[in-house]
Amino acid sequence: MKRFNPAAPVEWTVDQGLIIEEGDRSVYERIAARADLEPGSQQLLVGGIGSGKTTELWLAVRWLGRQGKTVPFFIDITEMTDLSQLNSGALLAALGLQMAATVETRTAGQAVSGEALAAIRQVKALAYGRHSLFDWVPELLPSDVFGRIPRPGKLPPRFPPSDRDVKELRAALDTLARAVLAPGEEVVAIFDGLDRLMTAERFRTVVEQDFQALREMQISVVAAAPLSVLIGPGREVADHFDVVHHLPAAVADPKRSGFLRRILERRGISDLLAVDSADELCRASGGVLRDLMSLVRNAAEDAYLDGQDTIQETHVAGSAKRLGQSYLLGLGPKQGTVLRNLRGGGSFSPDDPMHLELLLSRRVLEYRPDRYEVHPALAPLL
Amino acid sequence: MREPRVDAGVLGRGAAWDLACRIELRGDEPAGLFLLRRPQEDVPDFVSDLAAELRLRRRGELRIFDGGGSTVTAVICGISEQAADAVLVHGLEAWGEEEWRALDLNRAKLDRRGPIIFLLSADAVDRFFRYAPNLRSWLGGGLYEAASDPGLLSDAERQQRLQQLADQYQMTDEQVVEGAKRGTLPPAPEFAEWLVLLGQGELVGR
Repeated sequence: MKRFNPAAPVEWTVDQGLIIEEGDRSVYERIAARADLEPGSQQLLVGGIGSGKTTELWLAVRWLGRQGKTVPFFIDITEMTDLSQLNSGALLAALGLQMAATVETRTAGQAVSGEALAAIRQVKALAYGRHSLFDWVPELLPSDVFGRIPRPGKLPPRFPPSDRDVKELRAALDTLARAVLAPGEEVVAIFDGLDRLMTAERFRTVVEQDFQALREMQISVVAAAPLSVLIGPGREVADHFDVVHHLPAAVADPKRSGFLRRILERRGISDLLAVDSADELCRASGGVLRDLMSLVRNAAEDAYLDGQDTIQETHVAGSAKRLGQSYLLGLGPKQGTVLRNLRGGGSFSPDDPMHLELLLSRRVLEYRPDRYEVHPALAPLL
Repeated sequence: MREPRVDAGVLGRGAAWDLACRIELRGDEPAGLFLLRRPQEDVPDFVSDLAAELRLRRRGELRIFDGGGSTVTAVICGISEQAADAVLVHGLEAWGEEEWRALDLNRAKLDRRGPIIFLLSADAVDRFFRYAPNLRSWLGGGLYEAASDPGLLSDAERQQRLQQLADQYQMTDEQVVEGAKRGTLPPAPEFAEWLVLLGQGELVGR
């Protein structure tokens, strides 16, 4: 069942060969090639929750690694700090920590240059906060404070906010880049997790200063970004980046595309199904890849609890209903009206904040070109 | 809009039976999130009853984490204290938009091997789905309705669990009741469960 775990680590999924590429939807080669060919370029990968952005970014890292002309750093910022308190400098600090780790690994057992060592210390101090006595106010502290060793918390504290720190980080990164890179190599920074900053304005506020510094350093940047960067009132934010790649919901109708079905088959769906209900699973997912995995896993668990060896049609229907209910809960009356209207062929305008919220929460799915539909698991429950 | 009537996956064979089976089925892979909607009525000893049944039905550790009055960071830290055990998180009924959105932003910090079971009131479930779209995506369809009596243990099952506890702590039922009356029991949650199984739930917390 691990093959249908919607929370399975992407590295594992890629290593197991479970990824299926769809020609015009998969963008990682285009992303990687541009990052490779244009140092300092800045690209965004935009898509809804569960659309497969992390997989594409991870594939881009692998592609770049195979070319051997760049040193790609994959940074899931959500694993490194509290995203709700992210400040300018955080992305530089996160990249600096990864570069520092690479320098330490590559020079294991050898002497690190004094310059690189100072840069590593600088990055760590700026990322995790300084603990030198000069940063404290001695007169306010008890006399026994000297000699205390600060204990790190369970979560890293906030990354530094000031412009001065951004400048210091940039200088440290320059030094680390010289230590990491072989002649002719370039750094590519790939940031995952920034798409959780749902609004375009919040996204821009967080990345603006850091991305500017990275551009000046000729470091190529690729970042996951929320749909609101491309759709809705905040879409002018997209103009600040060289390319914005869109990863829409996949075509869910098996008659129009075999993509989702091929994903299921690669993962061995035929061993699990009593009758061929793969098409029903594809349709109910609406083309949201994570939902597709959830549908299969829940149906398989339901079958097991029913004492069945294989998934029956009733389990597929039950799983789809349960997914739809998870989209139904939390809806307000006005949102319900908008959804029913859209289901009946009415208009939908992402420039309206309430409509945009429905899109960002995946109750409404975006398909190319400019086509919006209520999530098919939710539609029958409205 | 009509008030939506949502038939969550009702745990018909005891409130924890399905949940425990699903957790077992997921084996060593990251087990993900579960959401359990607690009954509307105030049921005494509900959390400890539920925990008792979960412990009976599945292998491995189950930890109860009361998030009442805790910040988002404290809840994340509490859940992350261990990586592999199952955590039953309750007490988040006071959380509003700000807290759920903050937890949602930090979903990656809940990525652990053991399952996380959020036990929430109906209103809190509604806020979860309204303000935490990333967590919802991770949850898939993992919402379940807890029956008001989660402890539908047969007598044989109850005796089996009591024997497990006696073996684990090398104590008799009488010693546990006496310890509870004197307030000398260790603070482990299993003792609350033990007392509930003995029908002495009123001694919990003395």
